[in-house]
Amino acid sequence: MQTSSWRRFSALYSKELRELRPEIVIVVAAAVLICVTMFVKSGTSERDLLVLPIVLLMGLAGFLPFVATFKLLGREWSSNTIYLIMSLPASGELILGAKLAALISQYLLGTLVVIASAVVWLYPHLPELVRSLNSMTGIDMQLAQFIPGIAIAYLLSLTWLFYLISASFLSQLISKLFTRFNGAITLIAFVIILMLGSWLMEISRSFINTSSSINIVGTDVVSGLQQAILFMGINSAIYFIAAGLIMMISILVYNYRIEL
Amino acid sequence: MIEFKGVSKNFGRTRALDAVDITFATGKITGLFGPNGAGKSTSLKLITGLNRPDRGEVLLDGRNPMDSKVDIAYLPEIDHLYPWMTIRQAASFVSDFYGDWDGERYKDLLGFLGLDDEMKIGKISKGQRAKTKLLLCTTRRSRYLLLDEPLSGIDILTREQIIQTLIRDFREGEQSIIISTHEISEIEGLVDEVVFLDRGRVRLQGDAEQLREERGMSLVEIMKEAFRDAN
Amino acid sequence: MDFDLARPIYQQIIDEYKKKLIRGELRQGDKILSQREYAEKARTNPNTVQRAYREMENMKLVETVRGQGTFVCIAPEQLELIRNEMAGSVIELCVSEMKALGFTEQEIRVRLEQVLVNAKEVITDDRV
Repeated sequence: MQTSSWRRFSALYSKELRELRPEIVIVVAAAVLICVTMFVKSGTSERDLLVLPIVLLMGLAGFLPFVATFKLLGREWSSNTIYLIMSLPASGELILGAKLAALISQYLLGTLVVIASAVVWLYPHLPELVRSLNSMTGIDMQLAQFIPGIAIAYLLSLTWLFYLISASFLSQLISKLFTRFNGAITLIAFVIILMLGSWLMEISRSFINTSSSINIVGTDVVSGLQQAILFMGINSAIYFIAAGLIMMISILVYNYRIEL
Repeated sequence: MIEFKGVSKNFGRTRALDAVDITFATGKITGLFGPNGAGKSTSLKLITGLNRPDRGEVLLDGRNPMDSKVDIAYLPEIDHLYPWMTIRQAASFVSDFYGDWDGERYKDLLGFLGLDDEMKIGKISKGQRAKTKLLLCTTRRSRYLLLDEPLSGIDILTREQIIQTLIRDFREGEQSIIISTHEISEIEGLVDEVVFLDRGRVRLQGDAEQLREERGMSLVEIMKEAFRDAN
Repeated sequence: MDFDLARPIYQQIIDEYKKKLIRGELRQGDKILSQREYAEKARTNPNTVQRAYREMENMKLVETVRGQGTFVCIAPEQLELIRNEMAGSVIELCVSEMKALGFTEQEIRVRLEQVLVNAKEVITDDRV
């Protein structure tokens, strides 16, 4: 008698989130600290300097989920908990899917908190920013017009992350097929997967470019923005498909090749 | 019923099992005996689906181990639980996967084994960890219960408790238990059937009482003799 | 209880009950341990206990009433039978061991007498 997939998935997902708690707490705590500092130093020039930690924290929030892939998967082996995981009535779809979902959640939580603090930082500078934007482009732009662009850029970053996580999973799983040199094999497999991936994506990109003739150098700012959105959208789709494929291969490797 | 049909398994150049045929009957407690490196753990891992045979096949009631995971409770020799979890968290995690988890029995066993489920698995003694592993396996009403060296490195009193737990909760007729151990004397009275493994081959298998009757020896002595003949 | 692991355990379980019956520790109508209780107490396989109980039922020593338990249910002549049987096997064992050591029948008889006399003296000493 098996419990529902949803119940099994949530059990795995919450376990993975609990494993990621330290990293999540660090980013959120740092963002809160920055916001508190901004509040204390409001109106001073020191407040403006806080942009630096925000940018650094943004990098950390984006990068930590990738680093954590090694923790979530590799540690199952180093701590022998893979014996428990593999004996569970849960296939690779659920096991790796829950890990992926937890890492994506970590990314969303971390980056959104940092973005929120960036917005808080930006708020007093807004009129000034709009003014300089308008004088730069020569037309009357509204900030709202940038929102789709920002959203699609964020989506693109998510698909990058998905791509990196999948590549990390697959390379780690491949290394588990060997009894020795796991670290080196993981690294080599990771590089090869990324090279293969970028090669495949290059081909598909050139195919799409020739068939739809996208030109990023637009005639004016508005159409340039639209073209950038289109460009990022297509790239997101390509990364998403590539990441999905790598994830599927990882699942197959887990289901049919991994042994203890 | 669990069947091994001509099963061979190698790890690199090491031969763990060599064309092994075994039948584990339903409703019985089988002792899987043999020295270290005989292939006992590998046999259990093949049943659990943690390993795949190089040749031959392993069948659980005619089905592939990969499709039978929900019917198996497996206790590996190593510590396989998350050290940061409390016993309760581990129990809740495991219970989410199996419909045969019995909440009443969990409380009952917790008391019997003298465990406090607020304890963190990484911080408890080896004996308590062994009992926790057993708790998580036997709280389930699983069709197959596979125990890999459940008594090794455990103090005498804990051993008694573990053996008693197994007897208390064994469901004759429907549940099959396989206990692998190199310390036969501890569980001589506990097994219905025995399989003696040595260097990947089956030296002897049969009904424990019948073997005692025929040979007038204890299982330990019978195993020693079987190995002497083989060498 | 500790079993002799070189002999079938189910037979030892039956022998244990036979002895209790002969000594009168168990009487007609007494309830005996359930199979599960016995298995737990003796740390032995429940299937083995089941086999012993089944044989005891067949030998008309006990009777299991569904839902109530297993009770001693033995006819007096049956009790006498197992009493003789047990006595016979103990004596036979003694005699065959003595013979194996090279004692003659006469020597065995004398020694047996001596042991019995000594045992009696011990008992009378105790009483004094």
